[in-house]
Amino acid sequence: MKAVGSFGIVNADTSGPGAFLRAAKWYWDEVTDMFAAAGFKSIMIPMVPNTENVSRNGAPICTASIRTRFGSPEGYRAYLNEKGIDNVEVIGISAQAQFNSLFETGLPIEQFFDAFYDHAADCTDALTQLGGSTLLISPTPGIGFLRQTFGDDETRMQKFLEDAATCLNRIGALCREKGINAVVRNEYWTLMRGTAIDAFLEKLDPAVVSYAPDPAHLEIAGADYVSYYERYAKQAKAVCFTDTKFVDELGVYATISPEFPQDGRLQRVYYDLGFGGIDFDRLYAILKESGFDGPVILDSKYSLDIPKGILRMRTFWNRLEKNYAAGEGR
Amino acid sequence: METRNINYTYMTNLWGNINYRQINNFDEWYMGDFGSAYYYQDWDKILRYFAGAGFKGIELMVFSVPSIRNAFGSMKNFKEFAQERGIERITGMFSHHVGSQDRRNHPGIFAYEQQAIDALAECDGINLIVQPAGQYYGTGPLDDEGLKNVAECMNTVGRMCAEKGLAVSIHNEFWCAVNKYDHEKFLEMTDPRYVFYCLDTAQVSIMGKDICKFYDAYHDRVRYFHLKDTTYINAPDEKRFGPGAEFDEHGARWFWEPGGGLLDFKGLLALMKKHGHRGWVGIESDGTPDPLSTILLTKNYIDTVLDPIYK
Repeated sequence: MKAVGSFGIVNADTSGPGAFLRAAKWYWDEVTDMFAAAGFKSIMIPMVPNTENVSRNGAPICTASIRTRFGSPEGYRAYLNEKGIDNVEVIGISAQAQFNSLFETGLPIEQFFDAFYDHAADCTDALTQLGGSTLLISPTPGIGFLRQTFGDDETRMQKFLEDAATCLNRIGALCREKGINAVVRNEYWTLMRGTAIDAFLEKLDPAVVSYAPDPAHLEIAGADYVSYYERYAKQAKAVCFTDTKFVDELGVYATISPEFPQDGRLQRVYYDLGFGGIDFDRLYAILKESGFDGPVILDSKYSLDIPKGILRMRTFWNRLEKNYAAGEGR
Repeated sequence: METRNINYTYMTNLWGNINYRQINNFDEWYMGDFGSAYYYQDWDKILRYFAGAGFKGIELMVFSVPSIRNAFGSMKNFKEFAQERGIERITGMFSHHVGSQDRRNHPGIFAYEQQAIDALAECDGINLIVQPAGQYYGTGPLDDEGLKNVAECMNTVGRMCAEKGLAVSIHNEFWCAVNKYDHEKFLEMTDPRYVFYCLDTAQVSIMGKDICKFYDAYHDRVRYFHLKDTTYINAPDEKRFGPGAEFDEHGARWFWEPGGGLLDFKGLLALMKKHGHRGWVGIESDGTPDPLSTILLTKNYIDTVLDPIYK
C-alpha cells in the first residue's frame, strides 16, 4: 500500500481567513515542503477545469496554472522532486467543479460531458508526465444543482446519469491507452451516492473503470462502508480515506450547498483523519488481507489548520501501520 | 445624525469566498482543533465585523454570487440579512472581461455580465466594477483593434447596466492587458455616458500613475474608488507583465490598508473635496494576512486622517 497525501487538505475559502494567500506560489512551496517533511513521497492533487482566471493562480489547481508557473507538468515534477516528493500519484477531477465553471464559461449544460471529457483528457496527459497512476473521478454534479437545472424532469436527470456513464467509459478507455487507472469516487451528494453506486457500476466497463470506495462519503449516505471495502478491496486500483462525524439529519445531500450545511446543529462535514468516527483500523486490515497494493489517498479534506493537519495525516498513517502490526487492527 | 458627503464601503474579498450563512455551533469548529475557524467561516459574523467597525456598505465579488445563492437562496435574501446586521447598502460588485480584446468573445462576456448585473440589481446595488481585460501575460500589449474591442465591450456592458439602473466602472489592475501605456487612451475610448472609472489607488500607482494628477484630470469620470495603499509605486514592466503577477511568487505584499504604504491619500481627499465628490467610497484590502486587523486599522485611518480633510 502506498500512502498518498492529498492537497485537498487545503480549501482556499475555509482553511483560514484571507483566501488570496492560498493563491500564491509561496504558500504552496511551503505546503509542498511540509508534505515532504511529513514523509509523503506521493501526492494527490484535486484539479479544476482550466479557465483564464484560475490559470494565473500560484496554486497547482489546474494544468494551466502548472504550465504558467512551471512551464509543463514535467517542470512541476522536477520541482516536486527537488523538494523530496517523487510524483503526483493521483489527480482528482470532479463533475461538480466542471459544473461550477459554467457560471464563468457560459457553456450550455448540453455540452457538459464533452467539456468534462476534455478536462479528463488534459489531466490524464498531465498525469503521465507527473509519474502518476490514477485519475480519481467524481462523475456527476450534486443532486441539488441538477434539480435546479432540470427541475422535476426525471427523464432528463436519468439521461444525464446515462451520459455520465458513457463519459466515464470514454475516459476509462483513454486512461487505459495512457497506462492510467480511471477510478470513481461516489460523493454523498452525487447521483451515485451511497448504494446507488451499485447500479452505476453496472453501466461501466470494469476493464477500464474501477471503484475507489470512500468511507466518509458512504457513511454520510447511509451505506455500510465496511461491506463496500470487503467487496471491492481485491479489485480496487485505489481507495480513499476521508473522515467524518457528520450525520445528514436534514437531507443536505440534495441541496445546493451539500458540503456546507446551512442549517441544523451539524454543519461541519469533514474532519482531519483520525478525528472523525470512521473505523480505519478495520479498513486497513481489510486492505492488507485482500492484498491491496495500490494508492491509499489520505484526504483530510478542508482542514482548519494546514500544518497541523499534514502532521496529523502522517501520525494517522503511522498509527494504522503500527496498530495492524501489533494485531490490534484485526 | 451626521451629514456626510462620502460614506465608506468595504470590498469583502479580503475574507475569500464565504460559504456559510451562519455557523450555529462553536464547539463543532473548536473542539479538537482549538483554532479560530468559528470566527471566519460565515456571513453572519463577517457582516457584523464590518458593521461593528463602522462601515455601512459592502461590495461583492462576482465569484461569490453562486455561493451566496447557495447559502441564502437569493441575493435579495442576502441583502436583507446584511441589513439586519447593520449593513445599509451592497454598493458594488467586481467582475472581469477576460478575452474582451477579441470580439468573438463578446457574446460570452455579455451573457456572463448579465448574470452579474442581475445579481447586483437584485441586491439593490449601484456599481459594477470591471477589470476590462485579462492579464497582460499572454494577452498584452494590445494593438489599436484590440483596445477598441475592449472599449466597445465596456460600452455595451455600460448600456446593459444602465437598463437596470446601475453604472459600470473601469477597474484597471496593474497586471491587466490594458496597462500603463494605454491607460488614459483606453478611458477616453469609452462612452462617458455609460462608463465611469473606479480609481484603485494602489493598482494605478503600481502601474506608474500619480493618483492625484490622474484624479484631478479625470475627476468627471472617476465616480468610484478602491482606496488601498502600496509600497510598490511604479513597479517595472517585468514585474507587472509576468505570469500571475498579482500573486507574487515569493510572497511580497502589493496592497496595504490606507496609511500602511506610501500613497498620498491626504492629497487625494483634498482633491475630492475640491471637486465636491459625493457618494460611496470603496476600500479594498485584498491580500492582507489578517482581515480583521486591516479593517480596524482602516477605520482608524479614516477617522483620524481622512475625515478631518473631507467627509
